[in-house]
Order: sequence, then structure tokens, then C-alpha cells
Amino acid sequence: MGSNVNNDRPDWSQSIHCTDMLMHIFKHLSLRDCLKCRTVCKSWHSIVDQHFRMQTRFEINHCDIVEDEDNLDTPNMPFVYQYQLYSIDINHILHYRHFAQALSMFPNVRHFKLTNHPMNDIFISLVVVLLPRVNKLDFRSCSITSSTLSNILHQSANQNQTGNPLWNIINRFYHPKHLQDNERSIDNFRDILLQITTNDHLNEQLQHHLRNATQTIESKQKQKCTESFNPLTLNLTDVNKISTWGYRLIVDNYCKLTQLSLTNCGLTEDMATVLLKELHQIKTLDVADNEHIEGHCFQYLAETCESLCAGSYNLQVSIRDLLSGIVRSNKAKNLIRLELTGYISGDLHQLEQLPHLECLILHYYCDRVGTSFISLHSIAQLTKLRALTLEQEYCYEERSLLNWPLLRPIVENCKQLERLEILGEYGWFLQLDDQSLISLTNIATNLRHLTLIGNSLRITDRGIASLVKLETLETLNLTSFDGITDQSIRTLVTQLKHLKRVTLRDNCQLTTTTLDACADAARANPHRTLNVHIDEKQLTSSKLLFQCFVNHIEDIWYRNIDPLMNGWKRSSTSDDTLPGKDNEPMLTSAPQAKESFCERRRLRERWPTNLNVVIDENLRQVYI
Amino acid sequence: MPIIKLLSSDEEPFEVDVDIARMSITLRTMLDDLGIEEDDGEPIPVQNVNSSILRKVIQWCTYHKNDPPTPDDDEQREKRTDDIPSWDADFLKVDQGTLFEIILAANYLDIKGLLDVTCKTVANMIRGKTPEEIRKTFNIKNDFTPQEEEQIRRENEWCEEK
Repeated sequence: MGSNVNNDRPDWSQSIHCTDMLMHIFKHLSLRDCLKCRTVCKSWHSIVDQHFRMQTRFEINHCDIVEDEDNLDTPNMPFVYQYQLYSIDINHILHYRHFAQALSMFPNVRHFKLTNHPMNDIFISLVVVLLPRVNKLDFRSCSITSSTLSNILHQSANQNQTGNPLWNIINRFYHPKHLQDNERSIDNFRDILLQITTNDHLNEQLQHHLRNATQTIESKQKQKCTESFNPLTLNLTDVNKISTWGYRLIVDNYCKLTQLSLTNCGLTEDMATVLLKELHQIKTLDVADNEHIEGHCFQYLAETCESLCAGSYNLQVSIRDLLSGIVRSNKAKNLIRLELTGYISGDLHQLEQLPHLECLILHYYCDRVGTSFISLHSIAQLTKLRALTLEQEYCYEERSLLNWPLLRPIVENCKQLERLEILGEYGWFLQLDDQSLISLTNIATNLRHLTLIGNSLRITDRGIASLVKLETLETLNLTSFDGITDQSIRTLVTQLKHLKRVTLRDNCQLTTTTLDACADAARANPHRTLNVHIDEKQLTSSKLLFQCFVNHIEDIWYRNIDPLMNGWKRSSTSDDTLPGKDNEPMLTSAPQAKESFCERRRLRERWPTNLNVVIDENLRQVYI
Repeated sequence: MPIIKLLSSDEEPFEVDVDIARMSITLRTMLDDLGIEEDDGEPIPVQNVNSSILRKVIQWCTYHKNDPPTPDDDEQREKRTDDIPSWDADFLKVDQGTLFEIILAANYLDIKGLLDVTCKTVANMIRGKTPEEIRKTFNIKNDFTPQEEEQIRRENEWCEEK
């Protein structure tokens, strides 16, 4: 580049070391690439470290996949990463020393997540020492034991008080209840000290902490622990090694907890009762997917509770029993959000005792329609209801429980309803027809979000097109409607001015015209961003649609849809007039890529920038 | 369309539409603070940007003046670096020195779209390369001793694929 430097300009070869600029550039690189930059030269090393110090979120996902069969992880994959969240996948169990190295690079992280990785006290202690500012920990599927849990509780409970890691360790050590445990942990710390040898600064820091901690333990050993802990959030998922004693610890330490999530943690009715009796300030409680909770424990739910999520697919659990437990003591009357899973039968009259409910989500299943009496009339009494989700489970090739006579009183009485979701399996039969949709649009005029899963041949373009009356609609999800065509979708996307998100999956009659309609709608109003979610079916069945997209999709598609690709290329027009023909970036692995580049470029420029499309290709998502 | 005058660091005057100048947050703040609506004769000095770079910046802003406003950075939103529009890619086919100068100018003038696209361009030059290839690309001298290099290698060890 030297030949381009004029005499009257400074030598810009040095500006590659400019801190401001590199910090902006590193934002666009993955963690692994940043780490490589660290080894380039001294100035980059210190700038990468500085960049890491500014990060507030960090996560390590441990996955056991050793071989990548499809070899999708090549540099040609479209590179997608999350901004300001440094996330890394590893396929090996981290040694303490390596774990410490990783954490010490991100000293200012506030949210730390470690998933699917074996967890013990030493890891916890390292997190506390090395991430002093962390206030949100997420250890998903990390096989946590009761004693490790007690460590998490002690150490993070004090986090917000001083923000000083020292304090956490001290506090943790002299809590009289766990003195024995603590002595063991000191030994653990000594082990860690021996293992961390590559980073002198770190070593010093740890020794300092250990020295202080030990001294304080000696002087305060007999002092009684009287700290009041700050209210905090605790989320545990798929943790099944916690005993009743472990849950006792939660309430001992966390009596001011306002948000607790224990999903699929093997909670029993007794454990839940212990928890609920003590959590006087709980606001948000999520105990879903715990098969042994049938509902009795909810009579102890605190009056402060505003949001509850409960139930499981255990056949013993019924929504009625859950509700009976909830309303038994009349303390739960302040609930605003309620999400229940279970068997449904009869009426749900207990709901009438929860007058403040604004959001109700039911995941229900039932006997074959017609064999039992079911009434949803009580839902219609919830006049403050703003969001309603009714999801029927185990209903493949069954008719839906829900029909218009059941739904009508609800939409008639719940005038404030903004979100309505009627869900089932893709292969069910929704018992609504065009006329019900037309009636719905006349009644529920405030709807902003609507989701319907269909397979009802009785819903056709006529019913779908009537949705244009819902002028405030922002989100629309129509799945598995065999009877609707591009025509009604075009009507909706062009006429609903507030529509922001459209999801269309498994609708066999939709073609590329739908995408064209979305593009037209996006062009008509450049200030509105339109997000469209479709699935692969429509994409591969339509050559024209493929043309629209190929310019955005890297060569993972070239492999998958090769015949289609070739067919299209032969028909492509001459591109002599277009500039930049010889400057094909990146897309080199497909042999004919160069020829089609200009065509793709032309399509890309035609594509409205305020239209985002996500295509589901099996499980992988491709962003456009 | 009201016009204002900008003065580059080497004192070359530029006449620019107010709307284009306002794409720079720095200039927008300056105009708002000073209450400048349109040309009142006094050019606004753009101290850190020389004339050749300022010309490029104005060219970019002029082309992109009708872009919809970029949404604020959302922590959750996924970003990518392979979405550089082709006009920008052509526009940024310049030598590295100029590219860096444009980045610094975009940073100083606070033009988010230009900063993003230029930084993505450089990020694409780095991605997937070994440290030695990165040094070669940017003509950077390796100033580590072998011992230091070994030390950093060990620091990075935790995320190596095994």
C-alpha cells in the first residue's frame, strides 16, 4: 500500500494499530477470530483484551459433537453472530485452568451462561472470583448437586451487596451451616492456585483473595450470620440432582426471591410446598414440567405472585386440579399471567376467582371430542384478559376441541384481547370456518397478534381475506392451511399497514407470489420493516422464488439445490452491461458462481432493504 | 434544499445539502447546538478529515441519503458481515490506508452505517485467517518474543478445537 501514500499525507500503515478503529472491527468478529487477533502483535493483543473487558455477556456451550458430518462449519458458511454476546461452542470438558483463562478474559461480564458442562464447586468459585460483576448466572443442563447449589446461592446472593468478590468468598466461608463444606473448599482453592500458572496477575489475585478469606474466617468464625440477602432471580432448568435439602437451602438463603424458575427439576409436591411456604415475595414462579406437582402446593402461593407457570404432561395432572390448588386459599387472586399444562375436562369455574388475569396460556389435552363435557365459558368472565393462548396437545389427526360456539363468548366478552393464539399439531383439524373468522374480525377489533394452526379445509381465502378488518394487526401466523392461496395473503400484507411479522408455514398452495406481495408491501412503505418467516417447501417448489433468493444464500444452498441452480443458470441473461463482473467475493466454491454473480447482484439490489425473510430449511435457518 | 459549507482539515471547502450533513451525528449535534439552518457564509471546520477522505464520505452519504434509519443495536439481534451492499463493496475498493482513514472519519463524524460497512470490510479480511496471514495482509510486524508467543498460545488454549 506504500505506493499510494502521498508525501503530504501521514503514513497510514500505522493506523492499523488505532484502538478506536480496531475496537469497531473486532465487534464484527467471532470470539475465535478475536483470539487469533490477540496473537498478531502486542498492540492488537492489548486492544483485544480491552475489547473483551467491555463485554457484558459471555457464554460457553459445551456440546459433545466431535465430528461434524456435514462439514457445515467451513469458512464459506454465512457468518452470523450475536452482537455484544460472546458465545462459543466447545466440544471438550474444560480443565479448571482453561476455564479460568476463559473467564479472566471477560472480567466485566454481567451475564454468564455455561450449558451442558459438568459443574462443581471449583467452577462456581472461579466464576465468583473471576467475574466479580456477574449478576445473572445460567447453568443449563450442568448436573448441579445440592452442595454446589448451596455454593451458588451463597456466593451470588451477596453479589449485589458489594460487587466485591472478596466479600463473597468470606461470606461463603463463615456461614456456620456449611463450615465443613467450606474447609473442603479452601483446599479446592489451593488446588486452583497450583493449576493456574500461566497468568501471574491472576495468580496474585487469587492468593490475595485466599489470604484475606482465610484471615476473616478465623476472626469471624463464631459470629452469627445475620445478613439479609437481596432479592434475586434464580433459574434452573433440567437440574434433577437437588434434594429436598437443596430446596430448603434456597428458601433459607433466598427468602426475598422475586423470580424463581425450576423447570423440569424433578420437584415433588413436598419440595414445592417447602418452597412456596417460604417465598413471601415471589412475583414470578415457573415450575412447569415437574411431573409430580399436581396442584395442592399452590395454596401456599404468596399474594405477591403475579405470574405462574405450572403443569406437565403427566397424565395424572389436570388443569382443574391445578386451578383448584391455586384458588383454594384465595391468596393467588393477584395473578396477572397464568400458564398451565394438563388434562382438561368439565368447566374451569375456578378461573372466575382470578379476576386480574391479563394473560392466560393453556396447553391442554382431552379425551376424544364428544366423549366428555368441556366448557370454556369461565374464560369469558376474565374481562381484563389481553392475551389468550389455547394449545391442544396430542391431537394429531384429531378434530380440535375448540370450535366457534366455544370461542365466541370469549372474544365477545374479553374486549381488551390483543393476542389470540389457537394452536394444535400440524396434522389436526381446526373446527373453525370462514364464517367464524368473519365473525371474529367483527368482534375482536383490538387484536394485534393472531396465530392459527389450521388444516381446516373450511377456511379459505374468503375467511383469511376478512382479516383485513383487523386494522391494528402486527403479527400474523398462519400455519397448515391447505385451502388458502397467495391472493388472500397479498390482500393482508398490502392492506394491513401495521403488520410487522408474518409467519407462513406448511401452506401448500402458497407460491412465490406471496413473497412478491411482501416485497411490494415493503416497497410501498419503506419506513416499515416487514419480517417474513416461511418454510422450505415453498422455496424448493418454486424456481422463480429461488431466483429471488439465491443471491443471498451462500454455497450451502448450491449443494442442496444443485439441479435447480443449473436450470436457472442456463436461462440467465447476458450480463455484460453490469459492472463488477470480475470481482466476485467469497462465492468461489460453486464452479458457475461467477457467471451468475451479476444476475444475483441485480436481484439483490431489487430486494427491498426493509424486508427480512427467514427460511426454515429443516432445522437450520437461513437469514436473508 | 438548504446548503451548508464544510471545511476539510487541509482547508478545502465543500458544499453539502443540510440533510446529507445531518447523517453525521457529530455534524447534526454541531448544527443543532449552533442553530445553523442553512448557509450563513461561515464554513464548518471538519478538523480530523482531509479533503480526499471528506469527498469519499460525502459521496457515500449522498448515495445512502434515502436509506431507512438503521435500527438501534439490539443485543439479541443477529448480525452478519456478508451483507455488504454491492455499491458499497465497489465504493470501498480502495487501498488499505484510505479504508482506514474512512473508518476513522466515520468514527469521528459518527456515521453509523458507513462505520459498520467499512469495519465489516476489514473484518472480512481477518476472518478465518491464521495470525501469520493476518500479519501479512496488514503488513504488521510480529513483535512478540517466542516466549511471549508461547504464553499467549497457552492463554488461548481453552477454546482450541480438540
